[in-house]
Amino acid sequence: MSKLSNPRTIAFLSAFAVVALIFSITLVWRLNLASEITTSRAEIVTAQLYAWLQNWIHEGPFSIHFMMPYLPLSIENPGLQFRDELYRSYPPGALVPVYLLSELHGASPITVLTGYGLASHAVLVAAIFSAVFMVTERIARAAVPSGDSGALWSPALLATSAGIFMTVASGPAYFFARVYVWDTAVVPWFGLALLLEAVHTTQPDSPRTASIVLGLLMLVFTIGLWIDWLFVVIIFVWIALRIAGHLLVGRGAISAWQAVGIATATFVTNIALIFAWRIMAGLEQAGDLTVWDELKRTAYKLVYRAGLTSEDAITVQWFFDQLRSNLTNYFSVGVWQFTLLLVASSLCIAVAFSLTRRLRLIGSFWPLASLALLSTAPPLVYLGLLPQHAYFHDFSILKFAIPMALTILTLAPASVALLLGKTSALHYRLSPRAAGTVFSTVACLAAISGIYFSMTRYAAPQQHFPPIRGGIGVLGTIIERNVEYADVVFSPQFEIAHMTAEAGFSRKLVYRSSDVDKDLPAVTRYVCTPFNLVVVSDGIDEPKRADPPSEIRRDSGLVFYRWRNLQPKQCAGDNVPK
Amino acid sequence: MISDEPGADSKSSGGLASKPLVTGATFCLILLLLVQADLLIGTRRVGDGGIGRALWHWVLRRPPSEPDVWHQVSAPIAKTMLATLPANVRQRAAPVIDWLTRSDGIQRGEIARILLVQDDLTVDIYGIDETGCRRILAAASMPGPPIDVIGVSAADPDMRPAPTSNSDETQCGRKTGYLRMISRSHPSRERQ
Repeated sequence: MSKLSNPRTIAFLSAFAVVALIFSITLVWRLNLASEITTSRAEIVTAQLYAWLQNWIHEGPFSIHFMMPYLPLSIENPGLQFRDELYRSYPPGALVPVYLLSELHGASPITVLTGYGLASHAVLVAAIFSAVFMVTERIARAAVPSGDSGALWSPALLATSAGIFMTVASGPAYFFARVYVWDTAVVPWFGLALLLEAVHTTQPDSPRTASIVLGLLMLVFTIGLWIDWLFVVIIFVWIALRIAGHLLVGRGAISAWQAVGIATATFVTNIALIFAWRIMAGLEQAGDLTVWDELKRTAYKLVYRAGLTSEDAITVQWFFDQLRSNLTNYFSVGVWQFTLLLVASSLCIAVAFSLTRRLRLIGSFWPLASLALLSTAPPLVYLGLLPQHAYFHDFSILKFAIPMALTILTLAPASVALLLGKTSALHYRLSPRAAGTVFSTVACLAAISGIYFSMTRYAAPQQHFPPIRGGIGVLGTIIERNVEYADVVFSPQFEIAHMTAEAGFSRKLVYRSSDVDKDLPAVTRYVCTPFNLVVVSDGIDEPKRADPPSEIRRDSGLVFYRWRNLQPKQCAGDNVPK
Repeated sequence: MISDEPGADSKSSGGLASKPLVTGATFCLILLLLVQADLLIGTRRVGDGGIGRALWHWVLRRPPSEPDVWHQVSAPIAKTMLATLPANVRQRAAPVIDWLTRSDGIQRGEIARILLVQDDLTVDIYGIDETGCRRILAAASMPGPPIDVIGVSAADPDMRPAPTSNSDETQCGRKTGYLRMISRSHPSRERQ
């Protein structure tokens, strides 16, 4: 029998086709969600990442050492040391794939963002689907006699349930349509790490597979570490799982200690490189930053995000209010409902785990247990360690889609089904076939319940995130096409401050001023060469200057008044701001 | 590696394992039923729930409820961007946007969002500073503004009827960076 025509492959592909079909159908109504990036909710952070991408596109990432300066390059901010604080809280990994795609296609990063978000969502759905199929099929093989169709129905339905939830839940649907930030960038890699963990634990005896999977896992860990700190927690949990697996299950194709050593080396190397990058960012800006300074700064950032400082302090009540709001908006579940579901499901897995040890089924159950822990512990630990971050950033809740799809909807039912099937055989003396039927019935009913739950989540995106026509960037684009590097731009009416929605598009700050001549010296204090003054207005307010402008240009209702070749009054260019 | 071939367990475990196994299995079954019940009860609470309805919508390829569409324009050039809006929205929004532009307040916002539902017009301004907010509130205190209510948040207690009083400008001190205005449909406005 060829690989493609064996029942396992057919079951996997059939279930995958169902999820793929639903994924493509949902694209129709997701068009509303994917309208365009707006300024609401978490989307403003997407605009900030876009501003950094624009810097990379126009200056080259190597020339600014993959830094993320808050200010665009302009005559009044001529180098990294003049461009406000460089963003260093997260490494720049989230920008790399979008930058590369943008260069590859010769398209604007904003065009690439929507497609990359959709592809990331598809990868996540496929990874979670496959991981669930692999571990639950292993469970089914232990519970159902070979040749029984129930051995394939249950994993196929459980994987379908997980795949549909990841597709239609409002959190993933919304974030992958409109928001590109560290969290949306890291979650697909989290999904891939879980898939590789499933392969690693379900095929422990093949040295070739184990080596390839371990290599791929280290690659995923490396990429994940450069995107978001979530992977620090993931790696620690993974290392703990390898040690636990060694103690409980025994030796696989690659020894646990070897795997732990390789993961530790990967972690230490990447963290060292990330710190080196952060120190370089500090040196570029301040010139006198030491390793000790950077360590202190990093420690402060962690303490700040943990909510332990007075800066942007949050209370426990605010935190839980925000958590409740996020769970309702993005998953249509209440905070207590979610807690109850997660605690009950985790208990099911824990009890089943301890009893399957007695039943000498630990080898079959271990992949499920390790997947449950690796999928659930990191988001919970991350939330517990950095509550302040979670409070201010809606998108951190996206990580919870994974324990919902795995622990609650699929892994706990599979655990209980296995336990019930084995209990029926042992205590009630059912035949292996009848016990297999008990397993299949429980697993399939729970999977159908999960599919029902998931499919009814689909209304939420429409209720919480109404479609919006017209994205950000119109004003910024008009500014961008009418100004040049040597222009210093003012407006009596509006401003484009750094890291705002329009800044990435304008690639120029617009300073608001009703008296340009008074405010000009402060803005141009580091300008040492002749520059142009541009005043842009809607035409109601004409700029009041003694000299007439060198030129006047009109574009889309805005009037650009330009005075060319102004001489700097004072040049402080040598005095690098500290 | 520990062997866990299917069927190897029942003989090896015997009666000793049976009691805790039954207790554990019963406990897990209760927990699973609890979880499943909660999932299904929680499902019923969602407005458009129901698998039949969900499938029907998917077959028809339309969203569960026809959502109202917000139109987003850049606030400083909102008057110019009116031309990009559908005719019915443009016609209804033009007097309000023109009034906001004359107040010299909307220019100090980042984004304006416009929603038209049964001739009721909602205009939200995001990213507006205190000066812009005060200018619009001051304009709203003059007789005959083209809006009916205005507030610095979308919450009902914050909404003030127009014309506003001078004291309503103090709301801008909250620096919410947001203003909502609603212009309701009424006969005198329809005649204009």
